[in-house]
Amino acid sequence: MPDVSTEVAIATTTLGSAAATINFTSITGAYTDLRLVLTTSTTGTSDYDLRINFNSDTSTNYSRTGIDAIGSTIYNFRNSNQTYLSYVYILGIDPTPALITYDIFSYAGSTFKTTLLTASHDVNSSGNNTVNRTVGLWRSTSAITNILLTASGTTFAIGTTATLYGIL
Amino acid sequence: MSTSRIKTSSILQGFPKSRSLLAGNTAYDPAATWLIQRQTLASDTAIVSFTSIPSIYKHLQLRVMAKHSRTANTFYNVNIQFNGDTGANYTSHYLFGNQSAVTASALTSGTFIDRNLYAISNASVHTSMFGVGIVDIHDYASTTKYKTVRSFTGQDVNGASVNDYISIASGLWSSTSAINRIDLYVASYNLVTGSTFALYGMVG
Repeated sequence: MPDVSTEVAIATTTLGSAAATINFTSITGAYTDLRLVLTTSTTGTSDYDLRINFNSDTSTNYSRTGIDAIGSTIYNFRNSNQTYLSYVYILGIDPTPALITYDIFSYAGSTFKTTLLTASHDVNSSGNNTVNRTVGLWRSTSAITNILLTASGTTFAIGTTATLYGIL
Repeated sequence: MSTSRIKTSSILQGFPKSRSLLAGNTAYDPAATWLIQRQTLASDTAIVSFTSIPSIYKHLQLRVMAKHSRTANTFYNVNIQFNGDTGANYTSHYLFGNQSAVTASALTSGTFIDRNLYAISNASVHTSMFGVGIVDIHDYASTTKYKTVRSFTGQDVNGASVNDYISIASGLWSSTSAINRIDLYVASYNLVTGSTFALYGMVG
């Protein structure tokens, strides 16, 4: 086997206090892909959405297509020209965490950036149990150097963890 | 402490002893995943092949960004074959969603793993876009079990065409042979320049 690790933890955050956002900055361009692994819960009492922006871009350069099951209902959706990538009802409710993985392909390349998200949000009877698979697009040829995660309408709870991996 | 020079007195007095070869050195953190090979196409190519895949890992993972050469506004499957087997030994099963519906189906007795990976078309509205996918191949080196594949693939084109989709899928190759070759291709069309295919080995 080669002696170079393929998947490297670039940065990790464990919240010691509630926060509305988690921000990864100054992301190096040394890898091929990025993978974000989140174990999140929120301080709210209902289901909340995750929003993602890259490089502080809040223009209408985002779009998404996905499927999810919320409770016993299956949904499909497509949204174009958004100001952020939005993922509905996936953040967990304290003390019940949700598990989210987020792959960003060729994040430092010169093409538009495509992402794949998986989310498992099982909160028993506290809210809507959700499973989600979504592809996202950021129409920019800029290398991603900044990822901003926002808990829409609430805050990430203490103990929320976010780890950013670089994949060679 | 890393050893770089040894004094004669140390030899005479004996060395500090440790039960670990790693004592005093930077910790070695073995990775769970290793890059076997990445292919970024420099020209349009009919078949992308990974050959002579060693059996030293537990699982394989493909990470793909793909575009095919047809300029009409449509997407196609990237077919997957193992060890050059073109027999009817493959089964596929998928859950697929786009802007209008969620559908599911099973495909049996296929000659390749189907509907587990897709390539976006080379239409002008897809400039700078690629279809992406992650394919896990479990226990690929087993000589006693059939081979199961799972995948997660999708593309979003900002509504520029009917080609926004998301899919989760599985596949089966009914063979007990260890996988030592993977072929990826789009029927009747090439995979185009810039498409990227990376194969990783995962330690069990």
